[in-house]
Amino acid sequence: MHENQRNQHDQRDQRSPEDLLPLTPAVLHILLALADGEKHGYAIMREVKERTGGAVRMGPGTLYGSIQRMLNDGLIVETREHADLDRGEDRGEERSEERRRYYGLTGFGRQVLQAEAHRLERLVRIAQSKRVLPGLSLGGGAS
Amino acid sequence: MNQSVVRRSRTLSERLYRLLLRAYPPAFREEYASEMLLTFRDARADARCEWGVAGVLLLWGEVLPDFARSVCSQHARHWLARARREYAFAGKERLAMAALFSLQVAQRTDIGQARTRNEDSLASLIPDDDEVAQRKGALFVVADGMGDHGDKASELVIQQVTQSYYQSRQDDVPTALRDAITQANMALRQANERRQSHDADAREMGTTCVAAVLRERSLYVANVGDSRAYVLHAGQLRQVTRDHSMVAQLVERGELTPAEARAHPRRTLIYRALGGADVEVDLFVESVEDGDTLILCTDGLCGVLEDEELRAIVARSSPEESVHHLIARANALGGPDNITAIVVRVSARS
Repeated sequence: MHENQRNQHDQRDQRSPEDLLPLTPAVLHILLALADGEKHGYAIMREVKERTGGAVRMGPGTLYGSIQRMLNDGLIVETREHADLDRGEDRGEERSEERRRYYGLTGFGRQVLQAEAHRLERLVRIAQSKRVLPGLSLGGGAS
Repeated sequence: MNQSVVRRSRTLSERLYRLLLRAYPPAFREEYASEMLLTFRDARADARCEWGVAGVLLLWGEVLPDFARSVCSQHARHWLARARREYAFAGKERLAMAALFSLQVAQRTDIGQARTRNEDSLASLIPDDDEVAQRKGALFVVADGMGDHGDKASELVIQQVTQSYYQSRQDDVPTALRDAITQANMALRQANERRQSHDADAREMGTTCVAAVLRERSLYVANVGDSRAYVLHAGQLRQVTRDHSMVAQLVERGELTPAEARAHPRRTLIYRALGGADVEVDLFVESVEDGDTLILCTDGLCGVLEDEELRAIVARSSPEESVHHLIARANALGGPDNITAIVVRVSARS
């Protein structure tokens, strides 16, 4: 079913993940949310909000605008589409039975996320060396 | 009592959000509006559950600025993509064909006199990079959409064909062209399947496609449907493609004259198009010489103008003047359909 999409990704994979850096905050947070498994749109929104303690909030417009760009860039794929009835019962509210689209990372998406994480790590190291951030005296040697 | 107020605020919120979604560009809306509405519904339900009506108001406080920002950026993206596609090469002489030729390209599309929307799409791509220009050549594509969302079908196919063609590592032009059209067909078929899984009544959308590559001394043309490619060589106009239409078959069998075909009530009926299960692509290879002109058009032009008139206009005018005159002439003859033309003049580099 996704053979066609996969072919396109293979061709795109000639690009280096570094070409896409730095990522926008929305793209980075969506990639992080998908790092441990596929999710649908609202699950991504909720995870981002919870994991950042409410500091990063994404509305549906920003979310799906970013998803569209990430699909074009081959960072994510639509994995499946199915009826979803989660969490409805415990609230006694009827939940929509409409089909939802789930999104997952592609191999290239994971590489880009890793490259961005390394970039940020290097930044943190610089900040530590300049004493902007307290150093994590890992492995000793410092001081 | 309280319960009924909450119920009302729910339907109101949803109805309001549904209304707001109409501000997005149609292509984006078609793809994501139902998902966004589901997402909003979930967010509203959670906010209501945690904070009550105040939570719903807080949610709106977040959603409105997000809406304003993303509507603006989606429209900007949409228009940028369109402008890049439609106006980038219009009337400009490009000197990109590295070794042998320079190309003068003009393109134009018009809604005509009788239709409420333009379902034709077109693209001209001349690579800036000399190496790509030598390996892949310049690509010109015209598509005439049909069905419920014909405009979307032709736009999707143009995008897929241009993207697949230049991404392909296949250097054999006919193979790469055929692959690009086959992939575009698959993408369109998937879009049809997706639409029908949401709405069983949705009519399939389809499109014609004629794609031409100019590389070194050769012209390669791939065709499905009844849009056409012509070459004007030494003052003579020749139709390169064969229409996959019922009337064209009747003309070939001598049962209709070309003039009768142009007036035939079923002239738009075609038996091959993109959007279905499999697609058979016709391929043509020709050599080009200094001074030759390539013309791609939809049936809104070649189904209305006689070949002789088309020849006369293109032979005496520059590409930019040609597309202008051709479209004005088709409109003057009633403009029964959308009208699209790309005219490319090939000159040897001095």
